Formats: sequence, C-alpha cells, structure tokens
Amino acid sequence: MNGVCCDINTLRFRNRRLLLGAAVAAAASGLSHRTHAATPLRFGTTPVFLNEQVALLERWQRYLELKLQRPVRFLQRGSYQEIVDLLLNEGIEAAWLCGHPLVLHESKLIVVSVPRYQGEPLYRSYLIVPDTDKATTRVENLRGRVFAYSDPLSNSGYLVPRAEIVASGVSPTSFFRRTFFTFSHRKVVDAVRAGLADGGAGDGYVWDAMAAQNPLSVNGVRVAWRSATHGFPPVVARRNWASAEAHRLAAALHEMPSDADGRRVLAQLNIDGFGEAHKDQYESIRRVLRVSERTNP
Amino acid sequence: VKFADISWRVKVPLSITAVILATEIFVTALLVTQASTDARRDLEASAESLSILLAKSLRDPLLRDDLWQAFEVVTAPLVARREDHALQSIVVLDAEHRVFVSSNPRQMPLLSNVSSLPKPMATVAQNAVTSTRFLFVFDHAASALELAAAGPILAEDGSRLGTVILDFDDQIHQSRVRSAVLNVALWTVPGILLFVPLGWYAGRRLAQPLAAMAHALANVGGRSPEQVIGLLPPESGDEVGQLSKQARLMLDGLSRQAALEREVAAADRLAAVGRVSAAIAHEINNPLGGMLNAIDTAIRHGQPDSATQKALGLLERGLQQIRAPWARYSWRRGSIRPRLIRKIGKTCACWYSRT
Repeated sequence: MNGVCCDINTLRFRNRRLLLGAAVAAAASGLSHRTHAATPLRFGTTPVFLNEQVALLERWQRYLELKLQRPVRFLQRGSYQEIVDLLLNEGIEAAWLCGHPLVLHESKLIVVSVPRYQGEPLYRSYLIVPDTDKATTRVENLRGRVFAYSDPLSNSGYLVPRAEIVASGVSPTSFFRRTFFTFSHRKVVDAVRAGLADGGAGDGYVWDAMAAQNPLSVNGVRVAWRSATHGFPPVVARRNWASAEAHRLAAALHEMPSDADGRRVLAQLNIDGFGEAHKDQYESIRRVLRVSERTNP
Repeated sequence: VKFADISWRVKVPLSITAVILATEIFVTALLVTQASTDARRDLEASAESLSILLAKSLRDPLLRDDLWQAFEVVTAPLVARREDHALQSIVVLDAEHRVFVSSNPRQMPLLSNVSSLPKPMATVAQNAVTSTRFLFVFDHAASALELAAAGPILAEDGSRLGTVILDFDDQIHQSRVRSAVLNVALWTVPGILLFVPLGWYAGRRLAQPLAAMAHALANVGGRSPEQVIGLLPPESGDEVGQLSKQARLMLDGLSRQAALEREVAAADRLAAVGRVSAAIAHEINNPLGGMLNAIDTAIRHGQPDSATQKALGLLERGLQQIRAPWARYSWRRGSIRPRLIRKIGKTCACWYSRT
C-alpha cells in the first residue's frame, strides 16, 4: 500500500486527470488486493520432493501465508500429469514440478523460482539397484529385467533412463521384460528394495534426502549410476497468472534462508534455498527429451 | 482290595475326585477341540474376507496394469497384520494364470507360472483358476499342515481378471492352536488343584455320618445302648439322619427290653423264694400248731406244776412268736401273687438273716 500511496503523490504534481485516474486505479488495486487476500493461493506439489511429510507442508504453508498475507493451500495429486492439468486448466496458480513438463508446456508455464541444492540449481538422475546386484553399472545392464519408472513426466525417473537406452541403440519399449510406474521417486526405491523391480530410476535429490533423513529407507539398495546434471525441478506458475503475484511468491521463496521458519522448512526439504532460474536452465532436459523421442515420437 | 471292601470314608472322596478329574479331562478335551476348530474357522473366515477385499481392491490395478498399486494393495495386509497372524504371502495371478504381482517378488517373481509357486499355493491355484468360488485348503500333509486360500478377481460384468492366492504359515497357525491349548491346560491345572482337595474334603464330610453310624452299630452289644446312642450321628432329615433316628429308637427299645428282662428275672427269683418260704411256713406252721396244741393240752389238762407250767408258758409264748410271722403267709394254693411272693421272699430273707 505504501508503494501505491507514493505513486499517487508523484502523480499529484502532474495533473488532476492523472491523479483522478491514479486514485481510481489505486482503489481498484486495493480492492484487487483484498480480493486476493481472501482467495487462497493454490500451490500444487508433486513427488519431486518428499511431499508426503504433512508437518513440513503445514510449516511451509504457515511461512508462505505470513509472507504473502493470504491463505495458501497445498494440493497433491497422484501424478505429475494431474498437477499439470490443474495448472493448465487454472485449477491451481503455482506448482513445484519437474523440468520435463515445464519443457513440454513452456508456452503456458513460467518458472517462478528454482531450488538450490548443494549450492547449484541442478540435480541428477540415479539408477537404483539392489545391494546384491554388484554387476550393474548402467541401465543397459538391466536388459530383460523388471524396471521401475517414477512418472511418465519425470525427467530423472523416466526420460533419462529411456534416453540412455535409446542412446545405446535399443528401443526402450522392448528393452525390459516388464516396466511399471510408481508415481513417486521414493516408491521407486521401495520397489527395488522389495524386489519387485530389478532396477529403477529416480530423482537423486530425493534419494539423498531419504538417505539423510532416514538411512534405513535406502537399506538394501544402492546407486549404480548417476546421470549428468539437469535443471532442478522448478516452482512454476501459469503464464496467465498475475505477474505481481508470481513475483511476490518468488520473493517469499527467495527470502526463506533469511527467516527462521523458512530455514527450518529448507532444512526439512534438504535444500539450500530458492533462486532465479539460470539461462538455459532446462536445455539439458530438452536434449534428453529429443533423444528419448527418437523412438517414441 | 475290592472296591466294595473300601471304607466309605475313602470311597466317597475317591469317587468325587474321580468325577472331578473325569470332568476336567472331558471339558479340557472339549475346549481343546473347540479351540482348534475355532482357530481353523477364524483362519478360513479371515482368509475369505481378505480375499474378497483384495479382489475388489485389485480390480482396477489389474484393469489398468498398475503393478505398483497392486503391489501396495497386496503388501498392506502383511504390513498391518499382527505378528501371530498366519498370513505369509499374497500372490495375484493374471487372466493367463501368471504371477501379476506378489508380496514376496524375490520368492515368487513377476510373470512366473503357477507351477513355480510353493506347494500349497500351487495346489490351490491350480483349482482356483477354474473356479469362481472361494477355496480354502487345510490339509494335514505328511510333512506339514498345508494352508492356503484363493478367490477370483472378477470384473463388474463377471469376467475373470485374475486370482488372488493367500498363503499361510502353518507353524504360526499351529503355534496359535498350541497357545490356545496351553491356555486351556493352564486353566485346567488350577481347577484340578482347587477342586480335588475340595472334593476330597466334601467326600469326607459326606461319609462322616455314615462312618459314625457304622462305628456305633459295631459297638452294639459291646457297650450299653446308652453308650451306643452317644456314638450315633446327630438326627437330621437325610437318609443317614433318619437311620440314626431309627437306630436310636431301636436302641431305646433294646434298653427298655433289657431293663424289663432284668426286672422279670428278679421277680422270678423272688417268686421262687416266696414259694419256698410259703412251703417252709407251711412245714413250720403245722408242727408249730401241733406243738402249741400239745402245750395247750398239757397246760389245761395235764395239771403241770408251776415250774413246768411256767416253762410251758414260755415255750408256748416262744412258739407263738415263731408262728406269728408265718401265720400271715398261710399257704393257699393259687392265691399267691408275685408281689406277695416278693414280700414273702423278703420277709424270709430277713428272718433267715436274723436266725
């Protein structure tokens, strides 16, 4: 509101018509802000992080509500696609998504903020196999086996292993004896641990968070291969969402390291903070997508 | 020793103890059988409920080929089960009778055939894939108890989507049965320890009046009826009490009869004495009468001197003194009565003692 008042004072010295117009605009802006204050910000979450931790989400929600001065509602769905559909159909305003759906819908989505993990806005895809499998060092070693993917829209849990298979000159559709989706990086680890799959691909950041927060959850499995780095799953918003709101959300996320509650949330998320996206942040994912689509147009 | 020769003091408590033991054994056997049957029924009922629940929950994963969701469905009952539940593993067969998913993929890998399953599951699966009903196998095979169950997974239109097979750990089931049996036994032992002494005590209490009666009757003849009556158990409304009452009456009768017999015997003796006394009196009275007549005649008609007269007078007075008591008992045949005889006897005895 101070900003608005300042604008009004500046305009007073120019002419009354402008002043009148500015006053009307300010009133409209105030009304708009009050309307926004009553309307919750709907924020979609996906398994790009350990989004089953309810206490974490509650703490993060309280932090964002305090910073944004409006209610915040986190929404979860069973797959990335459902969250993408909500975004595209204006069911939610923002979401923490994988880079793959962002690349697929770049014309409709914008990056609000990108997490910083181990100092960089980057992460890797991990190939996970049972501890007992000492031979596997690449996904190509798992030919004819059962393989667990994370999500069809996941970069680390789907695109990367498929691109590796394609790059080796084999069709990924016939490479494995059986494949299935767990729709969660954590559950890829669970599937391999249980022996349901001989291998699986998932988000390296999620694996690291699991290993750090609950080492027992990665017992019996190992990382057989790590991919090159890719752009970390970003917080995205609809392009048609008010840019001011997107900026407010970005600012709230960026301020987290300087706030005690924000730091606690970041510690639970196992990331350093949020920041701006780099240029060509998701170019590597575009490349992987192109490789993957060679046999899967 | 024959049972009939054993005292009731032992026989009654022994019988009660035997009945208690027999009852305990019978009830224990009944409870053990019931526990075993219940355990089997419980297992079958829970298996049927679980197979129905799983069949409904697995319908969509099978239709959508969602292996992970199917895996989560089949592992949930095993994660949630209690440690003592016999459920061991769950296998889902697809419409081609291959393993679609199993709770233990390492032991029962995906896409493996029914024949590769462990024995009880393979047996029930081979029957279940052609059946639309719930099947339960509970066979005591040579080596172990075979426990398995199976149920169909049907689409809404009744088409077969697959089969869910449940495998149970026979050791856990038998352990549960053993535990139930042990519980029954643990309740039986304190029951025996409590009721056998109580039964023995009650038996002794029951046999006590009978034993007292036997002891009292054994003393009949050896002791006086009054002493024997003192040994009798107290009178009561039960059979032994009535017996005691009758025995008391009988002993009273015996006592009175004995007293009467003693009295009769004494009367008889006195009567005999009386008869003898009467005879003696008769024998004495006659000579006394003669002598008194002679003295009287001598005094009246003999004209004795004064000395003789004085002597005769003294003699007559002496004879009269002798005669006087006996004259009252003049012998009258048939008129003598026992009381009179007793009196005569007493008089005679008195006289005899004086002379």
